[in-house]
Amino acid sequence: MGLIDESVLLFDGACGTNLQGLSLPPSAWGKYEGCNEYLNLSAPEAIEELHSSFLSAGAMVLETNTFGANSVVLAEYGLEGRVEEINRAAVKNARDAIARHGGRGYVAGSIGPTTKLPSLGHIPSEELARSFVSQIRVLVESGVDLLLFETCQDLLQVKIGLVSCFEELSRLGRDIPVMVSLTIESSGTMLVGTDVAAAVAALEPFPLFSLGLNCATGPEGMKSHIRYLSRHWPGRVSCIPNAGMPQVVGGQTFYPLAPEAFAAELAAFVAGEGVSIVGGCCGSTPEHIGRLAETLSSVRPAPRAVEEKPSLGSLYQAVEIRQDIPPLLIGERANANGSRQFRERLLADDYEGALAIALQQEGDGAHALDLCTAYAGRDEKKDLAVLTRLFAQSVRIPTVIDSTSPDCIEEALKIHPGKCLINSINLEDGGKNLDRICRLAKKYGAAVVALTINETGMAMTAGEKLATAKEIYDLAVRRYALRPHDLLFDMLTFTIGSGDPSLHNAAAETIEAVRRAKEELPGAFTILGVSNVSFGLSPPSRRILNSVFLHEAVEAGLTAAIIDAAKILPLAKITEEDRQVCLDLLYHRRTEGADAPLEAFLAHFSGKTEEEGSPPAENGADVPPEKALTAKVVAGDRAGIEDLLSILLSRRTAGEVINQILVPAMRHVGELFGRGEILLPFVLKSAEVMKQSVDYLEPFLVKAERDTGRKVLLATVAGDVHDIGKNLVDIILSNNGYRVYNLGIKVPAETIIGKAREYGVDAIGLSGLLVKSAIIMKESMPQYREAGLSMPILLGGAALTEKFVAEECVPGYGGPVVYCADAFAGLAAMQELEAGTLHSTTYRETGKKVTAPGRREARISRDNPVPKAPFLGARHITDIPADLLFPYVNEQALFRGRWGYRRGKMAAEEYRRLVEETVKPMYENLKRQCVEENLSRPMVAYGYFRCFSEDDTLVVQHEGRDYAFPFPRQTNPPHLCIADYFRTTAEGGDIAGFFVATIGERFGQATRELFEANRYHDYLMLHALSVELTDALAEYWHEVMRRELGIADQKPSGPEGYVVQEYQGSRYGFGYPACPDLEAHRPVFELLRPETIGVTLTETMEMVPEQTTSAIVAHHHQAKYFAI
Amino acid sequence: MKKYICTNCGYIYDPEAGDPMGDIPPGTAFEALPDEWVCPMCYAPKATFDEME
Repeated sequence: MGLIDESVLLFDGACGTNLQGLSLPPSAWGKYEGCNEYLNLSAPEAIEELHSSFLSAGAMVLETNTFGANSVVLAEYGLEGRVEEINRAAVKNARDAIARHGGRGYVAGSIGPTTKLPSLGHIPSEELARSFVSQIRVLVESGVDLLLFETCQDLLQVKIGLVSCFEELSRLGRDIPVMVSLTIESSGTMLVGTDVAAAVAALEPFPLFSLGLNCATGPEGMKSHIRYLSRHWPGRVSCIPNAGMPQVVGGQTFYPLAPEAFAAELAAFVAGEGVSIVGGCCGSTPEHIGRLAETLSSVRPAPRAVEEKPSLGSLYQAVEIRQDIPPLLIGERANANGSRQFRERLLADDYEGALAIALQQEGDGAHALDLCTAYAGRDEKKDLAVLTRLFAQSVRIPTVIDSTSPDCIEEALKIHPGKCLINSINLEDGGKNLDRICRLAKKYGAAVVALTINETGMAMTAGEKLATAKEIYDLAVRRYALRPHDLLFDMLTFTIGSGDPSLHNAAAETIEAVRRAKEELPGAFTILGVSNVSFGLSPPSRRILNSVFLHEAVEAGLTAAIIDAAKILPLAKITEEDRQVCLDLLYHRRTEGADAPLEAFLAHFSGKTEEEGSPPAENGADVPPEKALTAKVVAGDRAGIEDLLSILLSRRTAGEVINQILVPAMRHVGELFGRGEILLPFVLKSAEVMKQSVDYLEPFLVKAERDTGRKVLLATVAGDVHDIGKNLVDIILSNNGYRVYNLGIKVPAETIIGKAREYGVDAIGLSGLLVKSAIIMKESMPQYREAGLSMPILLGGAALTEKFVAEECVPGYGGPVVYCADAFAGLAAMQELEAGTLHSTTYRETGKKVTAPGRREARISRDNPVPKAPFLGARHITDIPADLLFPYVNEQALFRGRWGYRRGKMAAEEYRRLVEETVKPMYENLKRQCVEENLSRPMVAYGYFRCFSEDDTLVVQHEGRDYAFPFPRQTNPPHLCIADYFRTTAEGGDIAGFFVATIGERFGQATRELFEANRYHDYLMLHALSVELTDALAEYWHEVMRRELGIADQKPSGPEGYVVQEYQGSRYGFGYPACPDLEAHRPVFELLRPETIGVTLTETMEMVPEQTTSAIVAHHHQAKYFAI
Repeated sequence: MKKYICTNCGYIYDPEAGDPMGDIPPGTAFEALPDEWVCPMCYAPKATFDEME
């Protein structure tokens, strides 16, 4: 009696947790603390003792202490050269223990999952295969009785292991039982998201002794998966759980299940579910195994009724080939020959775009996806490998590998974790290709589509089709040991739209062949490329004919169809008349005296448009939730979003919903914005939907999913309090899947460097509104370089230009420095970073001399009259009614500029309606809110002072003190300087006005709350209004001062008049182009004492609250805006 | 010829008036302005402008 004859096999208990519990001398571990496998060499007596204790307890099978004894794991200890030595010693230790117990017992070679997940690209398939092979060879040569792949976390890892294992066993000429034991987390799936059915689908083709579960949870958490295996896995089922779900108590990991309860639960699996291999994983001691042995002595495994469900599988789920409502729909659009859109994306190396076509079909209801990358001029193998990996990771439905090249097919099978379908084999070349492809299908556990083509050509009649099919069936099953349920026969579909008389009966013959297949090809399935039937006909009529043909074929027993799932019409939506015309054509039926079927068909559908032929517009219930969610993101519609997400969570993991639906939807929104098809406020609405969705999904994310996404740090640079630009970047990036660390405002370079290191960010984004901020960015570049940073730095801000960044900032830093004109340029930069195409901003002089804009008067008149100041010194005004400012608001700048409601490509009428129906009502609401909630509290500190100019400096006199205001002078003609607008002492001196104006701090609070509540749209709207209201206050107060000075005769003609300064004199804001230096705030604050109205200065001379502005007022009639 | 407005500051470019400060003669269509041309009031680039109704 051998091991396979035992009705129940009792394995031993934990290895790792028991070894860690032994008090071994430090010399046993040597330099390899934590490497349990090393103990096989350094402390063989301890290992043998542990084995022995389990044998004494009643265990029949010992697992070798080789869980991590492969080159991948041992390399972490520098022991990769000792794989053979360690595995050999481990088998000997187990054998020695068994010898001490009278030779009774079996040895299972334990093969762990390594520490890398090939599905996530942690390790190339070939490297992992090499590691498995080297371990398996030693274990087998050392005489293990069986091999056990345990604690499997990644389906691809298992497949690579099994392919290597069976090849190696065959090479060694050995046939020993191979067991696979999966680890299903408490989330209900394997670590990378595979459910138990997907694992069964992928592993069922391999000749395994058993499939089962170990580790992760206690037996309680395994119940539903064990039940599934018991009913659907054809081989033995094993269960080797932990002693309960691990808990951490006082820093110690602790397994709560006592031996009695552990034994009782496992015995129940044996008696109730027919589990026939049991044992213990982490936390199980000899006492657990002893109690289990006692309990099992009176228990027999229950008989099992196994219902096999032939399936295809993705990394995530299984899809039955025989659908409850047939057929299995295989999406046809990811085909370089069949879909122009797919081909164009492939030709542009736009793999993400190609993936989008796959996801769209999945959303449209496809059950599996055909993938074909064969196209003249392309590297089919490379494209197939890249897309197979992308599809495998991102698509929940199985992949159909569509290629005629065995090399390409093998490349894809090597990296796809699930059970694939190969499309296709035939006998056109007498069976050479068929031979290679069938061997691959057997080796990797794939199913195959077989076309009914032989050396004489394509089978036309039902008889020919079945004859060829049977020939292939016999070859595949007898010679290549494929199972009938691995075969899908394509009976070939020809067009009946060409009028070719030889094809009149082609559709009827195909349908007949499908009908006969069930009986003549037992256990195998049928498949058709449905849309070929209508080739050459008009699109609306094709859609109807295809649907009717499909319906007829399904009635005849068709299992699967390659088709565009979005274009199938349910029979109920096809009129009886349409259907009859189609049936007449399909079966070539002709009524007496009527037209031939094709002519009748053409006449019937002539002039019919797509609308008539297509189903009614998508209404609520018919739209798949994937599409509905995308639509909601694009529309910025939050209604019902959580219901949709909960539906989607039953079909996908949270990470998939984010990465496969939400992020692509936001990218689409970004693209629409980039093309001017939607406006910024709508982008923010979309981002709100995104944010709400991600917040909802957050608790469902597994750790690995949470930690994905490139990381970017954002900060407004030292001395700058403006955060709207940076926050917009935050909104756009974080809602496009990036992890954003927003450090806030006024952040010194030292902090940025420290945090960039701490978070390990992939890029740094610096923002700042002021001219001074641009200088700070430039000056800090060497500091980042000297700190050893090299990740890209993205720069954004109103005072920056491409030229400034390229010429002043790029040279100071070692890594890429990139100018970003707006948040979307920031997004584009991050995408380029991911694509590996991000480079520093460059600037090329156009050759044309750009003349500085602004006034041209070279001579400032020296004899302008000096008005009489209404008073000298400072005053504070705190009772300005809030609504007084609204008429001064620059509505065009607010609507189009700050709010982003630009006309762009809109027709004039469309834009007018947008403004009248959306923008203005919102403005009115916000104005009301400002007044009712007392948000705007305009206050001014201002005054008039005696002064005189002295070269470039204006000297202001107040209460016996002089305050110097050195102003910069243009370096180019006309060499203007603010001081020029004031008289010198010799000219009799002058009068200067100053003001500091604020609308208070309430706006700051209100906008902060909106940002923190993720109300991005309202945040931008309110913040923008506060900026324009601040400017309106400055405009208003400047007018008050002109009146007080008696120079207000000239009145601006309307809102535009204020823009172009249709008044006497000018106000020059500190920090703005004519006087960028904020240092002037020091004397301004000494003169005006604006602290009284709640305005203070930061250490870098910026004013707080943000909604504050300051200016010097010049009365000279030639004084106008200019830039330094 | 169509007028364009600076979305940053509200300045309106009127082709009939041109932009004397930027040496743009009267009668110059917005589309014909050089790429380097900027708003005479706030120096925003040409792309910042939006067509008027």
